[in-house]
Amino acid sequence: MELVTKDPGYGHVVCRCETVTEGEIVEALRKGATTLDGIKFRTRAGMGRCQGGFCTPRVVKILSRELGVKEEKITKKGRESRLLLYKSKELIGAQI
Amino acid sequence: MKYSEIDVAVIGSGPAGMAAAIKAKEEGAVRVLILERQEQLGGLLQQCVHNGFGLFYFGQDLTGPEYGHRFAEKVRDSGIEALLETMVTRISADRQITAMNNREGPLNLRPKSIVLAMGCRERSRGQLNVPGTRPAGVFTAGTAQRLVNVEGFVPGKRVVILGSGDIGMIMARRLTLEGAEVKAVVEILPYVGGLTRNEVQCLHDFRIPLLLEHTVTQIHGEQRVEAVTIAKVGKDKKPINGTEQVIECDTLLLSVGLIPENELSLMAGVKLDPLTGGPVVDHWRETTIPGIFAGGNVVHVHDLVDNVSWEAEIAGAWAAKFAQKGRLEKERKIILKPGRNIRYVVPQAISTQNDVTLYARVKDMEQDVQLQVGNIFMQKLRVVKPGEMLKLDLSQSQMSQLNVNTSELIVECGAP
Repeated sequence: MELVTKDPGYGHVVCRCETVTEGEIVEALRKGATTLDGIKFRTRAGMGRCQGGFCTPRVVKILSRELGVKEEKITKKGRESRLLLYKSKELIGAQI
Repeated sequence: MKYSEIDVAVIGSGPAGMAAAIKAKEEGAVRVLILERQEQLGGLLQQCVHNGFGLFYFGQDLTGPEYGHRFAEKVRDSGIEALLETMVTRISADRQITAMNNREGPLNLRPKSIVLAMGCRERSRGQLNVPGTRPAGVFTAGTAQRLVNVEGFVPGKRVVILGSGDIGMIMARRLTLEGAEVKAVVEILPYVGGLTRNEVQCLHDFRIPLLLEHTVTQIHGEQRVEAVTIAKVGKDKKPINGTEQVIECDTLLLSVGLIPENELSLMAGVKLDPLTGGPVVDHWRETTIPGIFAGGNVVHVHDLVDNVSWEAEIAGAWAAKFAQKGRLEKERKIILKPGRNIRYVVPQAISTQNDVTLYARVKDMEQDVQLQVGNIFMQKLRVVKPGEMLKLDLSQSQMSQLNVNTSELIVECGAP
């Protein structure tokens, strides 16, 4: 309760399988995590029974917000491992 | 205590949770509380922007959000309370619920009865043991559905889909409409896993290649998916050497089955049926723990939302009765067991005093069959498939012909 009063993020469960809160994810970010796997290895978010099925979009959103970069730039494990290649409607009419 | 006098608490607010809560209220429960982890009511309906919802329940062809909206309005109008962005972390056998949100922190409540309506989750890559590297670009179909329909991203532009469940086929169409190229839907069985209507409307109508009796044998790519190897499978469902082909793609979606979400049920000590993955329930949709009811995909995976809501209404109605009386009076029960070519039957126990609708799934596709419950003839069908659930209406008068000592009935599907 004290933690939630100090930072409401600790009351917001992002990864339901491993019960990882937004507060813990932001903390991992501040300690240096910059990728989805970085968050996973530090907090266990995405390591549970649904294997990130539920929390992946949510963790990407938090990474984007905290790092101040677009969601399309967020990677699984750095370099070319981007998760979301296009914005919606970007491909329509484009040559595939 | 703000939440000390709750009659019925409903875990989840998808098509099951909202229907159960509304029904509980209609049946006289004074305080009904929904606990929902997302920001709004509706659960997975929010991301199902395709049509086909409510054809039976409302007699109208609605999208997922439209279907959910009708229930959500009723929830608000009937004075049902809802705690959003609230994750239930624990339920005990004596109906203590522990939940948490970012406004109130940890919450403890003890409602008079509980309806489990947590729905289901998707099987993931880890449960398939697909060999290969672990690049970005492997998603379950439902995660991709959320990314496209709610978050506004297209994960990639050259896509292979493994498995032909309903969400997979719907995403094949959705990604095609978004301008991506779906190179193939690969299914290990000789027929699709989902509904025929989705096979026709999502795959055939969009000329998306469907490769039956094939599977993905390797994922390639270090950083991002670069290709997958697929192969034909034999009768034993094992890949046949020499039939491999490599398909270049940047995304692999998995649509390989759904699993009822029962971690909370297990914490409470509710007994699960290994055949459905959901709680063993009776005619009243009560689980093996008195006062804990369940309905919808948490009990068994349905293929139509209409049935999810109807089933959850049974749970909601009896949860309201339980909240009023502290227990349910139950007459003689008959246990139902799956027999020839039947994978499972829900509910697992029925009352002989009321009409009942049974839900069942077959193990394998079969043609020209007859369905029986014990000696009671139910119906003849031209074709049965695992992807299409059977619904059997058993009337009280049919059951009145049963021997008084009958305690068990076998549900069977076979040649007439």
